[in-house]
Amino acid sequence: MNLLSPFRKTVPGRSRRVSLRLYCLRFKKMVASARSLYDLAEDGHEKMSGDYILDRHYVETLLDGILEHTGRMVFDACFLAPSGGGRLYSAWDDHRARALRLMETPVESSPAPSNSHVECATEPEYLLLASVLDWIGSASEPSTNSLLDFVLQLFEHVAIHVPDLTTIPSGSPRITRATNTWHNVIHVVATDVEQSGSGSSSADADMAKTPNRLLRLLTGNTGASRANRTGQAATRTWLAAGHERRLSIWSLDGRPRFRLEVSFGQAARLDLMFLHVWGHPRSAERATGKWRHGPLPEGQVAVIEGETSSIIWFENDGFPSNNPEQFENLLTSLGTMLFQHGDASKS
Amino acid sequence: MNPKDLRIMIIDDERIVGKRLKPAIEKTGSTVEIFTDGETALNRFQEQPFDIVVTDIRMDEMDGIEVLERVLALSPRTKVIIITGYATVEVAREALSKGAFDFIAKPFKPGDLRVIINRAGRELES
Repeated sequence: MNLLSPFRKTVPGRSRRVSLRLYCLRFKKMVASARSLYDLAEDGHEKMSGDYILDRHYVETLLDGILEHTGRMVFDACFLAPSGGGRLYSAWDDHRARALRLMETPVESSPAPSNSHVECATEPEYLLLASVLDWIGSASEPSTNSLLDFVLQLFEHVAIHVPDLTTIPSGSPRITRATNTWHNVIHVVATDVEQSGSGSSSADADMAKTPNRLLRLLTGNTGASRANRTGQAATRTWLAAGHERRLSIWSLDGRPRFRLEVSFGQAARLDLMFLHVWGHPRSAERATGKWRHGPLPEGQVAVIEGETSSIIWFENDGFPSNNPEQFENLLTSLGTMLFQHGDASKS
Repeated sequence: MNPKDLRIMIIDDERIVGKRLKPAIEKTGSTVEIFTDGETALNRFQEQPFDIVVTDIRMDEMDGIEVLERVLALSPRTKVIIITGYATVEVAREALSKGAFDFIAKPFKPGDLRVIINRAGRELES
């Protein structure tokens, strides 16, 4: 027995609550790395336009940054889902070796890469940059073996090994939202450890009710009546964790799988809306379309869209921090899509 | 000074920088000479001073700070502009404290440098 044990208040479910909080924070770090990596790749594409004076140091710095962020993502993915992490590290080693080979190969002898569409691309530094961008891949259609495809694989790995219902403290409340397709059962856990320190489920119950504005907005447009009308809705289980200004929600079954991360109303730099859709390419396309043609003007979201998976988030300067109404509309319409969408027959 | 009357020296060990900057700066009518090392550039400077020196800060043989100091020792009126891919506050502060006219970080657009050169030209005039 630990010396301090007699003084520590025993709180049922607290350790699972803390674990879940750490899990959500780690996922948020993974998202932050993905965003940084994407920004660097975008910067590289902008420089490829030929308008800039750059040198080899720029390309080296760009590559270093991209490797650093990808390395962090691999670590985070293996932390979040240790099972099968060896495969990720092996693929990561291959990518890193490939990146280092790019830097070691004399660029004068390199063939012109497929994306070298500008006149200056014949210069060694631009050839090198083009090779690096080729390796990173296109966000709209990352080719197999590209880095962005690997990024999607990392998120898929986390989605496959998502924490299940055993992580939910006993007695946590559930809320249900039904649509024509799904009878959605959402298990709710408050991860505000300080507030929920008593270990009772009251914090969870509070989060399931009005205090968690994000969850309320997300579930606002769906109800029970439509499922009763059709009577054919399959059950889909969700886990929602968070506190007043943060929400992580992910589906545990059905296709496609969704994972949504939202932070709002803290500091603008912390505001976030991130969605991973996995397991159904057509649905992924529709989810993307929902964002692109939703309440926000085009060009304010960043998308990496693969064969079976997509990740979508606000670009740094696109988040409607100063427009709560726009944010609320987006979250509500997104909720309608999340709880309605998918093919119940494939669950 | 009228840009057409300016004599500008560009020093960068990455050949692409001089190669791409020379035509971009010459568009304003200035005379531009490019060098890939500080020693050769300073020998040329001793033969004939330049109004503006644009130098990379990190070069193998002689770095940009040394170029800056030696140029100003030879010609205090010359405006030295530092370019670098290592844009840190410390580097900028050191360059400016040693008399650099201004500081620009790579990657940059030639137009950004032209703005600084024009400003340096106006100051040379006054």
